[in-house]
Amino acid sequence: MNKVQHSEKEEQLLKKLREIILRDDRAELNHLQDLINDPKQLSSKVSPIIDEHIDFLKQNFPIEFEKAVDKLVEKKIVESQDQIVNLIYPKLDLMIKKYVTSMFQKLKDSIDERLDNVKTTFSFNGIKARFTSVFTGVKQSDIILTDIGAVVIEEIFIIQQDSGLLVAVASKSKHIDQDVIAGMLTAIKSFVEDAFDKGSEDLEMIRYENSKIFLLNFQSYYFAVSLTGSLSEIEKEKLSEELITFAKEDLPFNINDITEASFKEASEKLDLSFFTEARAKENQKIESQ
Amino acid sequence: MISKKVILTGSFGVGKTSLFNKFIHDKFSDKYLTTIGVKVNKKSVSVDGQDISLLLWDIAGEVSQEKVPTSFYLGASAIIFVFDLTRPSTFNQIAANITYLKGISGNAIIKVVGNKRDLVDDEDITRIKETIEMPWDILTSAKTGANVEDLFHGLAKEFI
Repeated sequence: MNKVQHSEKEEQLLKKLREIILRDDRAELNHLQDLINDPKQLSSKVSPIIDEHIDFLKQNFPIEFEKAVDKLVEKKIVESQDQIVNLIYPKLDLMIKKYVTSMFQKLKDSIDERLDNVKTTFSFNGIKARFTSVFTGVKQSDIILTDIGAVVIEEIFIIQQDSGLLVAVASKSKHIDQDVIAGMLTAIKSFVEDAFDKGSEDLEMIRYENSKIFLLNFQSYYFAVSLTGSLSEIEKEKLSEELITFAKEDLPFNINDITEASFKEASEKLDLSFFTEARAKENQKIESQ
Repeated sequence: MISKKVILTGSFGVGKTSLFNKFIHDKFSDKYLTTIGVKVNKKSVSVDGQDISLLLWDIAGEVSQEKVPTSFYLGASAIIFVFDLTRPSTFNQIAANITYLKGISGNAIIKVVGNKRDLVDDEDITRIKETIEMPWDILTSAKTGANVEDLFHGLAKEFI
């Protein structure tokens, strides 16, 4: 009996001792439980730590994760090539469609503007386009469309094949360094022909953006025609024919013997054949507008 | 006005472009810029009241003239072969180079020009004269302008 009583007493003492020893810990535990259970309190404690870590990650992400991300992206791309193509393709398609639409719109606006001018004024071009349309059966808009992309000859050089010396020149507006241009053109032509080592084949065209230089070669000289606009194969043939006709009819002198008189004569003939009429037409156009 | 094509050729760095610039623009620069391909410019000179337009082709320097595209020489009325008085390697093979140029240029006048005269003294000139395979036509300095006008005017005179 005494033993039992003694044991109970011990138990109580131990309980009291536990309470005394663990009081602070229990209080701390309760406080932590309250903190965890209250989102506001928890957030105020945790958020600064998370924010700090996020900042660290933002600044050091490439260093910390670059290799891992690279591997992951590479793996993902390899695994889902088809999916990626399927995803990108409609976007590309859309972009191209947008670009083409915008270009067409610009072209349409340009045509509309011209048509408006034609309709609202009794200009020479307007009357001409309408008459041409009536007599040829070609739509008025098509006639104007042809006019928009028309080839304009800016300058024609006749240059000695070997020396690059200028035989004759004619242009819409006088250029200062025609001799130097002729020399450089010949140098470029020689260089390209030598580089490709094609023997009897000649350089035919030099293009830069919307402008181009069309070259027509003869035995001892060549024509270099600087022009703007879109030169179709038919137009190229036509221009070649005109140049050949000019060469046959208007270049009777010995091309290897360039004198001041021969240069002047050939240049005047060139101007008469290719620019006088065009200049008159242009003046007429300006007057009619 | 008569026009004549004149070629400036020779090894790289001998001063062809400097002679070209001195004659055309009356300018000289110590800065070395290698010529790519060919540079063309013209200048008119008057000889005995007659104007001659010299169309100068400044060709990129090559150690051997055989490396220059032959089409560049076609139709040339004169070829100026330039060497550097301070670099024997530019005139060691002079006879072979001139023979080659004569072979491809037909009747063109060929002038042998020693450039950078300002960088060598009379003793050097005597020594070079003794060792060089063939005589030069004129010694020039693109830097000081010495004999540059004489070179081109002399050529123009021969054209008439």
